Amino acid sequence: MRGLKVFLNGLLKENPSLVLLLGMCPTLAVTTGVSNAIGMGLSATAVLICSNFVISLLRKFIPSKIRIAGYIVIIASFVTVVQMFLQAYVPSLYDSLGLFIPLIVVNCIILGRAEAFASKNNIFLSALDGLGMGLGFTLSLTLIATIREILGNGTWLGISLFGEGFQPASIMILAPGAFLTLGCILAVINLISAKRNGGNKNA
Amino acid sequence: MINKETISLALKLFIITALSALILAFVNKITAPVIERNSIESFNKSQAEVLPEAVSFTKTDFSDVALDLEGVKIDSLSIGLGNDNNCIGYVASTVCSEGYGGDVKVMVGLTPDLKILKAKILSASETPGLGAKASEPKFIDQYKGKSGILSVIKGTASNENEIAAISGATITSNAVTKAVNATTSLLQKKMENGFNAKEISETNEIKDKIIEETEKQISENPDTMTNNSENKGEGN
Amino acid sequence: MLKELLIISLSAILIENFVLVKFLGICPFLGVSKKVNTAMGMGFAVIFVMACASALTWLVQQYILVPFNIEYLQTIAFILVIAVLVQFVEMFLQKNIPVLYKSLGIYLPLITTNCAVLGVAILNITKFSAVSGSFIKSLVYGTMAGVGFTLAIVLFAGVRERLESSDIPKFLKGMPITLIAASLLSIAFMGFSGLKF
Repeated sequence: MRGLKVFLNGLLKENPSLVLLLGMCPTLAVTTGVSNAIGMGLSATAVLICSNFVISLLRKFIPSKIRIAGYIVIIASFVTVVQMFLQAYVPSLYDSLGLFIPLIVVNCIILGRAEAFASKNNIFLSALDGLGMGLGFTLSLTLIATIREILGNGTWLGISLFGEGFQPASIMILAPGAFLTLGCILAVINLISAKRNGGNKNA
Repeated sequence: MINKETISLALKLFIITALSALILAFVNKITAPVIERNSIESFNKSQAEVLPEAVSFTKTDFSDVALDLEGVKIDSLSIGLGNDNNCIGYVASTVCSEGYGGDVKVMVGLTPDLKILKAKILSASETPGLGAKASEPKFIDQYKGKSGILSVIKGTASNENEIAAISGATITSNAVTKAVNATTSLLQKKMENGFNAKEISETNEIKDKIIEETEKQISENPDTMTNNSENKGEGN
Repeated sequence: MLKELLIISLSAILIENFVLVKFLGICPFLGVSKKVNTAMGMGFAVIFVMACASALTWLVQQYILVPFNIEYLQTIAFILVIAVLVQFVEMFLQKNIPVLYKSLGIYLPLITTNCAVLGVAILNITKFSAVSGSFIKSLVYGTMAGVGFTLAIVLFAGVRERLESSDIPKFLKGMPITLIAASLLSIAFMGFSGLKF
């Protein structure tokens, strides 16, 4: 039961990119297409699960004075492993994500979860937290990418949705579109939560 | 100053780092050959794309050619061989460091009389929407059929050896052209020096070796090879 | 060479601005941009660290990773170099230039996880690999990318200071309007890509 709560917490209630606003760089940079977003999300998920697992395993071994350095080394190792596997077996994804794969190391979500969750909880819950957070991250990346790819390119996952007549607004897949999309999504979330709170007050 | 605690901290951090390095070395050992093969495959694919008529390619030494090039480096030079081992063209890949966003890697295929068959941007980090347009046919196909040293002009190209710059990205256009020109002058000099007999005999040996290796690969890994041949069919 | 360096600088500051075009260093860009003063402090700290990190990581790459054939340890080596560098800069400033430490000190620990720093270190290696002069180019690119970061964050802080006092629909308050403002700033920077030579 606790496990399910931890898992859902990461997926929705404390969604890392849309609620906690962590890991903004990849959220904005790789969401030009849905396939990139899913690739990035799953890579980060893999790193999150593994690093949460190992950090939780070693939480009694790593002294608190050098914990950040230790965490960074562990995270960087897993990122490099993911990087090498992608380069070897999914080279096209490796090329299109480029610089942002090694930059998973400095994604605040991963270090944040290590510090806030994995260093205090047992192995099972930590891995589950990693899975929840990772999938939450993937979900929000996919959402942003869906909006941007459809409006900016007229496609979803590379499949053309509209006929020849559709004139895509290419600004949506350029830099400004990223900020704009995220801003609008956050505004909608604000609206929804405001309505909910308002409803509670009335009742 | 240095007490027991410090030593224990350093030791623990060292253990973590050493273990990480060990794991990475292990993973690297597994993935490195695959990555290497991928890069060779994509290099071969590009070669086949710029010189489609060649049956096989063989790398050639060009260290005997002294070129006075600033900002350009030649990465590789290959001879394209036809069905009966005759030379049907050349492929060279060059890097020009004068792009807008750093290095621009270009591969060029030429006929034996040094006419450009096709140029291809292998990698570049130019500005999206401007310099990145260098890969689009509108710009890169201008090199087709040209020969000699080319120059970039703004507006429309009217002369035989002129390339019209991408509007708003003259620097990128210059960098690509510089790389293509370097290929031409390299081959001119190399042909003056002559491809020596040793290289050609080596060529055949290498060709045999390549065939052997390919057959081995096919037997080891049939999936990737079929994919590869499908891709080759698409060409442009 | 000088012309090339000028092009690299212009490109790093305006045309391929790290924050607004390349999306590196977004966290401090959104987090530390409420006041112009703090944005300045963060900006200068970043310029300083990025310049040092560019030089150091280039040396690590050329004289340790490449000779020993352990390029696959790049990510781990670079992040450690940056972490140590930041720590060292902090200690050095605290001891020797306390005035500077007072103004930059609180931003320094944040920089370790600023992806712009690790980003520039890796980009330097992939961008300027081929021909000689890559050390100078890396150093210039690193410094100028930092300048670009500072320009963006200071400009943005100016915008946000105004936003504080303006009348905004309730649901847009806070992050949404901030991001929309960033989007507009980013559109403005797109104009620089028309700079011709």
